Amino acid sequence: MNAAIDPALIEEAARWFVLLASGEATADDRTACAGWRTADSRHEAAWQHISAATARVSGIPRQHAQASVAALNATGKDQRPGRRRFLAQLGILCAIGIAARQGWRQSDWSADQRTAIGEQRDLTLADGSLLRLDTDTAIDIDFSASARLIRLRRGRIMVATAPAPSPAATRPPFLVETAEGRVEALGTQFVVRQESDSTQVTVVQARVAIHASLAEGAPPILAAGEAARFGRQGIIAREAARPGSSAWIKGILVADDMPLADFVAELARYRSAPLECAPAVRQWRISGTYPLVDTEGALAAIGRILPVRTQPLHPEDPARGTLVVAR
Amino acid sequence: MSAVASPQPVAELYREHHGWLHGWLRRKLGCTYQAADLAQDTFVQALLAPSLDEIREPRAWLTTVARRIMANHLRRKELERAYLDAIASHPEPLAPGPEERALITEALCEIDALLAGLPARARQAFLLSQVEGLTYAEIARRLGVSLSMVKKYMLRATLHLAGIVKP
Repeated sequence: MNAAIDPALIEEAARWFVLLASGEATADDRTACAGWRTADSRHEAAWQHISAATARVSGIPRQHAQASVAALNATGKDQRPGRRRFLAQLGILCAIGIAARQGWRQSDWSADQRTAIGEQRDLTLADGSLLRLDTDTAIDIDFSASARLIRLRRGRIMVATAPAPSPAATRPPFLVETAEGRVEALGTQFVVRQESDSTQVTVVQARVAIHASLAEGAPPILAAGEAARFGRQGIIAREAARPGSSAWIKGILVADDMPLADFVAELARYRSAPLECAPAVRQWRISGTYPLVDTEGALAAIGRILPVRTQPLHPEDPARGTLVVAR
Repeated sequence: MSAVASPQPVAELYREHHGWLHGWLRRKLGCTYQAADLAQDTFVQALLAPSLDEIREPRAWLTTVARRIMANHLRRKELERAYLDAIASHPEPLAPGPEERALITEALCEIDALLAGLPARARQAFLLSQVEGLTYAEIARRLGVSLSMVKKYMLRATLHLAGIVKP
């Protein structure tokens, strides 16, 4: 199936997967796994193989989870091995048949993918495209014969569309829909973020077209290295992508003379309890590279660079949030 | 010699044996419509077979394929019924529409096939983790095994899905 990947690496990736799936993985575990993945492209390929192999099982929507597990366990006891082996082969045949017939079949079945606060997750779509979901993100996947549509309900995703199986093959357009309009992939890798009243797009590779929902005329095209914010009427701001603006994919926040208020707001997205910035220090500037998977560590690090410290937002209950103040 | 059988022998196979196969399936299933569907599926398999020329005993071959297809069909029914039983006993009954039900049944069949061959415990542990979202500690309690056993089951199931079979 994947002759190019060394089985020993797949086994290593599987061990990482098992470590992170425990439900009790620490920030250190996640950092270590991210480090292993970025250390070598073969590691990342092995990780993707594991993600894709397990995605079908973990793709059952939450509301069907208990009944599905009950059904699979209730019927899973009395099978003879021969019959099971055969069913596995038949399953593969069916999968090939379905893929060949319909092509795009992830449909609304796998909709409602979401990540928890502080979680990042990878998905492999039916067409082979990859999605990285950032913290606190929710999407619907709606693939049909007319479009490969991702609805971004909140949060941020990175899209890496799969190359067409052959240059001549025509495929439905790949679209990311937000509250403000649609972003169309033109053979590409890009990031879309749903903000409170606008959509932020950053193009990493190739180009995208922006179809604001109320805009008329030809859609503006963004090229690699460009970023834009758009509303329903059209583009609000267009600029070169800030260096490091896609570093979140690697679990890193890169600040380059960033206002402390923006920095703190970024970290806050990865924390379940509120994190705020005192007015007196909001305009202070910060530079450097900080781990998103370990926001406590990031806060400790800025305390060593700027004269700031953290204190509870509500002194009577430290669990209810954190405030960054001048020291 | 081509990899895919030419249509001619399949057409011949169909003409000579379809009626007989339909009858055989009808006796097994007790339903003429289901029998017709499954007979159709059997001939689709014949179209996909790499070396139809080498089939010496067409009826024996057809019944072997038809038996498999029937087993799959019954398994599908079994999973669907188990799923419907499970939602019926749910405290807040869900009522999935026919399309949703078909998608769920299909996904269950696929997962069932993907996990086929795994020991029951490894299969349960993986489903509880990846479908229900339980922590390993909760799974250990549910299955009455140690935490390290749960990790072993998880690794076994993950490798199985990744196509690496461990003895």
